[in-house]
Order: sequence, then C-alpha cells, then structure tokens
Amino acid sequence: MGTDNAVIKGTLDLLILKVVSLASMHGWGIAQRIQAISEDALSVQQGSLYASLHRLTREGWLESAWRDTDLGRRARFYGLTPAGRTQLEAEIEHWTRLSRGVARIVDATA
Amino acid sequence: MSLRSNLTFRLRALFLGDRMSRELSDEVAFHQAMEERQLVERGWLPDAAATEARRRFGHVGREEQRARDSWGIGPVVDAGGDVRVALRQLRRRPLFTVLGVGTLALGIGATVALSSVVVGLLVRPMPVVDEARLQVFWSDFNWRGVEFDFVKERQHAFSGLAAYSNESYTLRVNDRSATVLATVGSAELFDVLEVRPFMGRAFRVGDDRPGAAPIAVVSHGFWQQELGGDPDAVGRRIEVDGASVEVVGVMPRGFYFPSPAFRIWRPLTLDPATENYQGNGWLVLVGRERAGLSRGELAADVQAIATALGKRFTYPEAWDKTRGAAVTPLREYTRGASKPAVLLLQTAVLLVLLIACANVAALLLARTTDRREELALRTALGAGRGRLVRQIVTESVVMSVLAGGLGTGLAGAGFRTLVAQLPLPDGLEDTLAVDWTLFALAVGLSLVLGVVVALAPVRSLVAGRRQGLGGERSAGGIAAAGPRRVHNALVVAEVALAVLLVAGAAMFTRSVGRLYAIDAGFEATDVAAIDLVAPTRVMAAAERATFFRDTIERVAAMPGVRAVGLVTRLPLRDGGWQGTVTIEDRPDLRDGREPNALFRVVSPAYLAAMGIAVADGRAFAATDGHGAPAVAMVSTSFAQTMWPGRSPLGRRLQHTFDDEPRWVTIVGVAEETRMTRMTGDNPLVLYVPLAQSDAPEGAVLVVKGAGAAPPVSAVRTAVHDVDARVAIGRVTTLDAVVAAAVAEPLRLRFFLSVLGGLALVIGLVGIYSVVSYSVTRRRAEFGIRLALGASPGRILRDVIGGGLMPVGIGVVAGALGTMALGSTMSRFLYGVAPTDMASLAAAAAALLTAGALATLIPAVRAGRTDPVQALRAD
Repeated sequence: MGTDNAVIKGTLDLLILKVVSLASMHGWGIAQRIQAISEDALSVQQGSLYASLHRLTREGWLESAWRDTDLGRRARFYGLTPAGRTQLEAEIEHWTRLSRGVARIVDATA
Repeated sequence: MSLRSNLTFRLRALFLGDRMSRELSDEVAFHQAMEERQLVERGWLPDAAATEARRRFGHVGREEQRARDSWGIGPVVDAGGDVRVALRQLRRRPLFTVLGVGTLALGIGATVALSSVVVGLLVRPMPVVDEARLQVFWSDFNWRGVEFDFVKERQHAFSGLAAYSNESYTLRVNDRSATVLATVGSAELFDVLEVRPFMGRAFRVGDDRPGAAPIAVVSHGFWQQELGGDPDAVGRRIEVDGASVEVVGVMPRGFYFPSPAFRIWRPLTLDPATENYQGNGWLVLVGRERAGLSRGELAADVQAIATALGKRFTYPEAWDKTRGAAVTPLREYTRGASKPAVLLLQTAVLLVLLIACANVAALLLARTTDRREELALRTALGAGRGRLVRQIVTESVVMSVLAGGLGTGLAGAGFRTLVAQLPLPDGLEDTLAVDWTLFALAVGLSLVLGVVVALAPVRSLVAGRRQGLGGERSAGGIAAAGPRRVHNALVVAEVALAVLLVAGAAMFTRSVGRLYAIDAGFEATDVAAIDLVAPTRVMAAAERATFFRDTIERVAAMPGVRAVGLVTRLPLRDGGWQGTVTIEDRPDLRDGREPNALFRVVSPAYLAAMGIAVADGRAFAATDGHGAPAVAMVSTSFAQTMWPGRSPLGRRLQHTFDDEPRWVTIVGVAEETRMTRMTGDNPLVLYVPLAQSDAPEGAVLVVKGAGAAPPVSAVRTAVHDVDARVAIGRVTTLDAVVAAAVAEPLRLRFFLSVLGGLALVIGLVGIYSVVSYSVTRRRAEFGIRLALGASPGRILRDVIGGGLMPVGIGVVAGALGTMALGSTMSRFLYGVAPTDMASLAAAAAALLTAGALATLIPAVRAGRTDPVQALRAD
C-alpha cells in the first residue's frame, strides 16, 4: 500500500473480472496473475482481494465452487457469470475512455 | 439484472453465516499456504516463509471482517444484536415490560376495534360509484309517478334521475311464507347508482312501464341463501307478493341499497292509468349530479325544477313542493348527519392511544435514566454515539412491535365483541370488518412517539459524556431532577386526558339516562311487536279483515297474554302515513290550511296492549263496528291544539284516508305517545277503529305478556293456523324499539364508556409505574432519612404526596379542558350541560382514587426501606 505500483482505486474490479474471464481461478492465483500479466507493474494487497471477490460474487458477476487443485488441496475457484461478462465489457469500455482522456491531457502540447 | 442472485447471496449469508465464515477462513488459509510454498520454492527458509506469507497477506482478522462486511448483511446482523439486547433488557424488568407493552397493546387494540366500527358505520362510502354525487330530492316518499316523469324531462343538473320506494313483500320459498324487504325502483335506478350486476342484468328501459314482465334483481346474500348460490339462478322464478317473478340478475357481493336489509329490487310500475301514478305520493327521487357542477348551479337547477312543478301542479299547503326545494346527499339521507359523531369518537380514540403512548414513554424514560451509568460507561469505553442511540431506539421499537402483535389479537376480539354488543342499523354488521390500515396507523403512531420520547434523554446522556462517570456517581445518591420533571409532566398529561374521557363518558351516561327517563307514552316492558303482511293480491279485503279479527281473538285467549292489539304503524319505529284533516268547527283551517296528522288504524285493545292511557272519553269498543257510527280518537296534543281549553269529545272531522269523505266523531283522547323521535316536536295523531276501515295489507300485532315476555313462537303458530298465506315479518320487542330510538346516543355512550374505562386503567398503570420508579431511584435517600430518624409514616406520606401532586394538577387541567371543549359536546347531550359538575366531579374522584391506589403500593415499599441495605447497594 502506498507504493508506486498500488492498484488504482476502483480498477481492482476490472482486473479481477478480466483475469477470471481468461480462466476460472482461486484467490491466490488471481493475485499472482494480476502481478504476472502486468509484469509486476501492479501488485494487489493480497488480503484485500477477498472482500472484492465476495462483493463481486454478491453482485452476481462471479460464481464460485470448491475444487481440488493440481496439488491435491481443495480451493475455492472463481469464474465469470454471463452478468459478469457484461459487467467486464462495461468496465473495459469505461477504463478505455478514462485512460484515453487522461492520455490526451498528458500528451497535450501547449 | 442480478438483483435476485444478490438477494440469494445475502439471504445465504444471513442464514448460513457460520458456514460462509468457515469457508472464508479455509480460503485464506489456502492462500497463505500457497504463498508460503512459493516462497520456499524460491529458497526461503520455512519459518521465514511463513512469516513473510502472513506479512504479505495483511491482518487476517481485519481482512476476513472486510470480506464479511462485503456480504452486505452488516446492518441486519447489528440490528439482530440490538433486538436481542433489547429483549434481554425487557426481560430484566418483567413488571414494567408487562405493564408498558400490555397497556400499549390495549390502547392499540381498542383504538383499532373502535375505529373500525366507527369508520365502517359512518365513514366508509356506500357500495355505489362516487357516492358524493348522489343526491336525494326533498319531500321524501312523497313524489308521484307523474311528477317523477315531469322532473326527469326538465332537469339539467343530473346525469340520471331515478325514483324508488321501499316495500315489504311476502316471499314464498319451499312452501314457507316470509317477508322480504324490497326496493321498487324506476328503470334508471342501477344506472344512477352506476352498479352492474354480478350475474344477469339489472333493470332496463321499459321495465317500469305497464305491460312489462314481472322481474326481480336479487342481492348476493339472497342468491346464496334463498337460491342456494345456483349458478343458473338467472331465469329462475320466485314467488313474490303472490305472483311468479323471474330473477333476471344477481347484484355483486357487498352491494346494498338503500340499506343491507333490502334484498330484492323490483321495477316500479309507472302506469298513468293508476292512482299510484297520478294521485299518491310515495316515491323518493335520487339523482346523480353531473360532474364538475358548482353548488350554486345545482341549487339553481333544483329551484327551477320547483318553479316548473308549481306551474304544472296545484299543491295544497301541506304538500307544497315548490317550497323548501333542496337536495340532500344520499349518505346523509340514509345514515343521518354523522360527521360530528365521527369526529367526537375519533378524538376520544386518539386520546386513549396518546395516553397509552405516554405510558410507554414514561416507562422507556425510566429505563434509559436508570441505565445512565451503564451508558456513560459504554460511552467512556468508546462506544459510538450512533450505536447507543440505535440501541435505545431499538428497545422502543421492540416494545411497540410487541404491543402491536398483542394488539392484533385484542383488536380482532374487541371488534367482534363490539359488533355483537352494539345496536346496529339493519344488516349493517355484515358490512363491517377490522380495518388493518387503521391498525398500521396506530402501530406507526406508537412507533414514532416511542422513538421520539426514547431519544429525549439521549442528548443529556451524550452531554454527560464530558462530565464522565465521576459526575454520575456523585449524583447517584439522590435522583436527578431532570427526568423526574419529564415524568411528572407525562403523568399530568395522562391524567388530564383521562379526565376528559371519563368526564365525557359520565356526561353521556347521564344524558342517556335522561333520554330513557322521557315518557314515551307507552309501557314497553314485556311487549312484543310482530309485523304481519296479508298480501292484497291473494287476500281480498274481507279475508284480511277476518284474518285480523280472528288472529286478535285467538291470541288474546292464549295463556301468558295479557292484552293484544293491532296497529298499522308502530310508534317510534314507523313514521309516515300522514294526511290532512278537515275539522268541522274550525272553518278557519280550510283551503290548504288543514292541519296534518298521523293516521293510525287500531283495534279496540291496542291502547291497552301498549299501555297508552285514555285521557278523556273512551277507547274504541267492539261495538264500533262496520255499521255503527264512524268514530275516532285523537292524541292529547291534537285535542289541545285544535280545541284549547275545551273538550274535543263529540266534535267531528274528516280525513283523507277515507275513500268517500265522511264525518267521524271524536269519542276519546289518547295520552300523548312519542311517534317518531324521543325528543323534539311530536306530530298530531288520529286513531280510527280497524272495524270501520279498509283492512290494511300490513299491520303490527302488539302482544303484552302477563308479567313475563309474551309467548312469541306460540303466537307465530297461531297466526299461521289462522291463515297460512299471511307472512310474519320482523318480530321485535317494544324495549328494542325504544333502544333503537335512542341508539345513536346509546352507541356514543357505549363507545365513550369503553374509552373512559380504558383511559382510567391505562392512567392508573402509568401513575403506578412512574411513582414506583421514583421510589426505586430514591431508595438511598429514604435509607439515609430513615437512618437519621425519619418515621416510615413520614416517608409514606411523602411518596403519596409527591405521587399525587401531578395527578392533582392533571385533574385540574383535565377539568378545565373538558369545560373548554364543552360546547362541541353539547349537541350530543340531552338534559346534561357540557360543564356538568356531577360528571366532572365523578371523573376527578375516579382519577384521584386511581392515583392514590397507584401510589400506595410503592409508598408502602418506600416506608419499608431497610437503611443498611439501601446504602450498601449504592
């Protein structure tokens, strides 16, 4: 927290939904993937991930099930629901607009 | 879109919270194990890896809590905790809880039960469309068919106009005769009411003209009871008034017109060839006012109708329809002007509810004040102010909800008792039901008041935070004055309201007593009144006369019967049947100035059976028969008005009920009898003997029992034995007739007595709880005083005096309030002033006695305080 690569407020939902859309995954895996895909540019405060996961599940965007992992231990896997996919599209669209706008301001010359 | 899954999730969290928490912990444990494993793989030492994994994860407890928070059930869980704490608090003081919840439940239940009856009786609209636009023409039961047709053509203010009258018919079902109250109406009747039948059709154009087939529309109840709910009832034939009539329609459930006692509607026959069309006035005109009409426009059109009537018809002075032209709303016409009574009762009901609420407020205040130390401690330990407020509010809400739950049962039971107890207009009890909207309102009101009062001490509590525990302790010995003042104010308010109600109830009781004390002019004890209908269609005049004569003879000979008489219309119950009288030696009263008198056909023993005294001359005798000289009797006021200071005996008059005018001689004067109402002007009465009149179709058999109620069922059998074609209608007692005549004040007295009693009980409980509470608070003080040598009697006097002080103030305030509000009561009272001192004194005495009783028990307890224990306890 407070470090340069902390996830921008409000974008954690987007990151989780995106990562889960690629493959259903457990919480630790999701944290790892966010870090790995962003080439360590983003890191998630690991513990805080779970509040988000449960909230997204409550919203009906994620569904979860307990399954055995490759290592033989049971873990809760999260997957995207159809409603979650719609939400992901909306978030991406929102993010793209936002980042484009920010980029335009940053690139502005005089 | 995901609303349902969201809800499912929350419900799962709410009910399977433990399991979800376990799963969360498993999830977190798995996460840390994976992290640890990865660190070890990267070369960390196992111990260091475990520590690092935990560090990276963050505070497990906090993160798990945040995850649980995200389930979105936090407020519910907290509220659940608050409710549990509240219930625990309530259980810790069972007496206060029972008293508070009990009185509030009583207040809510009684309020709802009473208001349901009041609303159903007086407020709920009749089952017709837009009742407010239905207007009844002046001169009720006095319009001729020809006038109806004339007015229909010339009016502009009404979208529809109908004529109707009320009839009592014989109905033959399964070879048994019964009477049925029926409304005969013009073809437009149901269109004007804007009510469609549930089955079949209503009236249509032409149904009311000569030659139309005999039809009937029946009520839903009639269809259920008499036709067995037959789905093919339309088209069936029933025997009404001796003729076969086709049922063409069934009205919807709940519909009635003009009152629930009427079960059949038949078309009028408006035949210009008959006297009923040209000569006799017997109809009521009801119209549906056009929408958006101003009062002025309506009045102008009504006046124009009256003027047109005056040009077309010639009216005698007594029946002049061109005068007093006005319309009355149908509701007011059928139910009387009831608004003031509704207001009076609703105010009284609201007062009782307020008293109950004040009670609960006092209770909550006591408890909150009691818990000052606990709350101050919790505040000091960092409990949020919001959390404390929520806890206090929850307690108040829990009490109101408990009371509401208990109140539902009381409301239902109270309502059933009321409906069973009250003298209600014909058949109206079936249209009444507990009004749950009112219930919600009452509970809502108690909730809001409870919360407001519960929050009052919170401010001082939060302010006390700065002062801290030390301040509280130092004041602990002697009760703080602030809450005591609030308490006393609540008692004053409760007592004042209770005095208002009790005094009101006392005044009504005295008023009804005065009404009953009025001499109705007859002896109502042990007299039955049996309505008989000898249908003209199946019984000729001679047969009817024989039937009446034989019936009287037979019943008079029965054991248990002291006297039996016959009259066409019963005093106090049946009005109408009035006509003009021409008096031989009063030539000044001619040409439209003839006086009006009620016309009553009676058998010789009628006066004896009714206990009406003969003031002068003689009663009718068997010798006043068909061939004998025509005779009559008049009422005392008739004699005094026509021949003041002189004897009416031997004088002659003519009346309009004879087909051929003839002079009849007055042979006697009957004592004044209340004919229509118990109070106000009494109409003049003319009695003629049954044997010298056309035998009527309907009459009332009046049977006086010999020292006990007359044998009514034996009389019924006798009537049917004499002639089975005759129908027996209503059977009542004269006592019931008198009671119905004073029904309105009787109802008001009943309601107010119940409310006054409730106010007294609830007030008593309120005073008790407040005094009892203050005694508990002042234990230490009493202990010190007793230790210093004060006598227990001194303490006792102190407590009673202190407890009665606010009661006394309340009594004075209530008495002043009653006198101030007196003028609004006066219109309901008869023979009792609204500032009646006896009633006020009774109310004051009742409240002071209740107050003394309520303070006595805690006072005795205070006197018995053990100083050592009291001081140690603090």
